[in-house]
Amino acid sequence: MAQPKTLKLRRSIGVVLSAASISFVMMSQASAAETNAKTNRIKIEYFDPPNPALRGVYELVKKRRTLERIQQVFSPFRLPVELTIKTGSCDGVANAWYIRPAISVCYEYLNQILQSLPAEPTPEGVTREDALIGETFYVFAHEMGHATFDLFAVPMLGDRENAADHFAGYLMLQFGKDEARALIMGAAYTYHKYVQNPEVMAPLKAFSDIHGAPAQRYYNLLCLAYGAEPTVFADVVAKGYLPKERATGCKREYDQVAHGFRELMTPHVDQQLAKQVLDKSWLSEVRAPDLSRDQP
Amino acid sequence: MFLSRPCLFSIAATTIAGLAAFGCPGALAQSGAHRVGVESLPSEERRPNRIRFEYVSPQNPRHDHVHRHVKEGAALEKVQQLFSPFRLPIDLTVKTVGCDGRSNAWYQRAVVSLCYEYLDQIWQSATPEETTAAGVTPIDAVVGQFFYVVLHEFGHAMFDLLRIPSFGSAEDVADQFSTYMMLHMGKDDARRLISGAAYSYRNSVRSSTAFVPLKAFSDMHGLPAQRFYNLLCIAYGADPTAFAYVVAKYLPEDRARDCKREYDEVTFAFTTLIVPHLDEDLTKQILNKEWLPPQSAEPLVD
Repeated sequence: MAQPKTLKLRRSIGVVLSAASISFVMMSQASAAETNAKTNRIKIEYFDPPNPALRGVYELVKKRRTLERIQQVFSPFRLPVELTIKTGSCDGVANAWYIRPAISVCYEYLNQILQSLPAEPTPEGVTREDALIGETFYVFAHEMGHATFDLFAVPMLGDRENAADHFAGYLMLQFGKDEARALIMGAAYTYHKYVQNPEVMAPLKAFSDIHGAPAQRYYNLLCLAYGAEPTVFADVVAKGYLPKERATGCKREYDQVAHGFRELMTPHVDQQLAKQVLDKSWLSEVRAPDLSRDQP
Repeated sequence: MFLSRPCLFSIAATTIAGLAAFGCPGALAQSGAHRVGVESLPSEERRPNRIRFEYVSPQNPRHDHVHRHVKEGAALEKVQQLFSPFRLPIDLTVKTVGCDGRSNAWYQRAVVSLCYEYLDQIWQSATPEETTAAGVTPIDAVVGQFFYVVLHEFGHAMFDLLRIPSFGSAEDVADQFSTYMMLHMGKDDARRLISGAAYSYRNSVRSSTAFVPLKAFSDMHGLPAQRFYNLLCIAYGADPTAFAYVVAKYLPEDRARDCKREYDEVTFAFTTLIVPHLDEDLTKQILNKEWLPPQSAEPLVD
């Protein structure tokens, strides 16, 4: 019998930093390897969590074939190396990251998503199920953004965290309108706690973080969506979730991201395979009829 | 827009004590009414030396002094020269203009507009004859803030006119473009320009706790404090020796650790996306030029 995989995902600061600088130096090598770029180069792995408290979420993602679906969605990218996408436990830290050549998502992070799902559909119409799917897809797609920026050596001015969010948001918007709506609003639920109060108090130091503030990421996601589909997301502006002042520029923001995607990503995507992925109705397949049965 | 009024007020009401004091996103935070890819550009051959400029006469007599200063200082001639190497498909105009009380700066194809209101605000922010605790002289505060905003708007213009692809926020992109350019305008100049530019945000990093209205997070610009740290991080990443004081005084170590990589990423992007659009000989001339007046320039008293 095979040994159960109980390896924990680890990410010490030192490792991240050195890996990040190495990855930069290696950029040219990665693009050199692009002659070998191929589709379907994503491997997946569910690590077995040693912590019994995480068994529920582990069983859930496995049962719902989360990684298999992510693998399929991203299969059209022609990658120069094999990329592994894995879930594992992280000593209590809710996190997710990319270090070449792997994307790691902690069960702690996925569990946090599960714990904070809305009991009832929200005023924006986000169901429990759509929040779960949207938030989960968002975190994997964000890290996939980092992975593609690195592996394709994408030249990037501007904040790469914001760029990874844009990558994820743009992809969600390429599925059909209904799916795009459900995915975006579900993903935006990630930040619901951060947009409740009219004033935010924070230590000044918080603004030195390279990630945008959660509220900024929330507005960026809604703006991108509204810019892409002003009809589908009209209520987002009408009900004031996205201020009008910002909304006026959203079409231009979306056009810029679409231009960026076309120029920097499309050359690395197998169009035929991408069409198959986008034509498939993912949500009807993924949505569970009764989430309570899946609850750990 | 909601930021601009309290901001102007704070400038007027504040005695500038130093870089440690902070502040105002100024017009910089509202700039960016640029257009991307709305109309197509002519496909004719791109060429350098396509910057035109105009000092529009101000209607408001209060702006006469700013008008005179920028003109006498040949500010727009310098900008023209700085961007002469860029091979553009069409002419790009930069102008100083009165904006009916609005303190702003923006790009809209193919014009960069700088309001006298905004330039006056920069002017007023530099108290005569006083050097701040962080070593920012009045002349550096004026020139640094001026180049920072001009280069930011030109960043928007270059990304638009050269159709440069980008995934990130256009405002972050323009800030990075501006910072990278300043860092390459001569080593001694770089430190003075960056310190002067950072002075734009003096009022926003004054206290250790920030109260920010939620709506401010919906602005497509980063918050002033974020832009302050981003600016310093790129500068520190470029030259940890010249900008060592930045970490000692302002930039938290958690962020500082990664700044070299951030700078390397900007360099890689600039080299890949921008440099192919530059005329090599003209670029060399630009890089060898000194951009700042000497420190001992006459005080800024009007």
